[in-house]
Amino acid sequence: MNERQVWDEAILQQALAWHLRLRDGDGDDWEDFTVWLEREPAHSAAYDEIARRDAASS
Amino acid sequence: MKQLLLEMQGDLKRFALARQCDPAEVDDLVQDLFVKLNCAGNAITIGNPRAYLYQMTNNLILDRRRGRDRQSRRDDAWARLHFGHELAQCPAASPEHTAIDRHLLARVEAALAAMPERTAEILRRYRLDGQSQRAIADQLCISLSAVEKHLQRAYRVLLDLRCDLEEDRALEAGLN
Repeated sequence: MNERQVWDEAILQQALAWHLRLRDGDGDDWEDFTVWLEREPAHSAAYDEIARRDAASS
Repeated sequence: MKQLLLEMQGDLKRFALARQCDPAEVDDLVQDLFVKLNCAGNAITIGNPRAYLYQMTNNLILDRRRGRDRQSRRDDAWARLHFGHELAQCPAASPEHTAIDRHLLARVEAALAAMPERTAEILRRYRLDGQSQRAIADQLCISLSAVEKHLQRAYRVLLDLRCDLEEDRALEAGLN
């Protein structure tokens, strides 16, 4: 429970950019997001983390 | 809409796999989508149906994961903070938590105050007023990418504070 995940800051930053873009994104944005996710399995986890922090903040 | 879901099944499955769902979960998700759309019937009119289906899929994935690691729901000094949400009955906080919450609240307020006015304004429009980035760009006569940059900076500050709060909590839990 006290284990801290270490996040790659650059990936978190990209995940945040996607998170912000997708709120009002169109179908093409989601397709581009899919391609970004497929590039690296860690991308999905970073996005989850951003979404979780944001949800916990509202 | 159901027709579109049939057509998009392949895309949505690909998306779910990219979100690291295992294949069984992917099939499950698609079933859920059909059920949800059936319930919604034709009552919904949607500006962007493709984005809507992706969004639904993503929300289902997030909901499942959230259920899985049951975050404590009462981290809510945060909620009180800016964005004006009323606190849904939160169980009485321990004095330690209250102290941490107050501390956090002060830090969030300080962080907001420290942001350039333009950044704080854009954050407010996006998050509180629910304006799209495009609408903000048009109204403030700046580029979309400038809006993106402001928002990223603002969110970065807020989400990092969120992370700090969790670390404080973990520390506190370790001490008890």
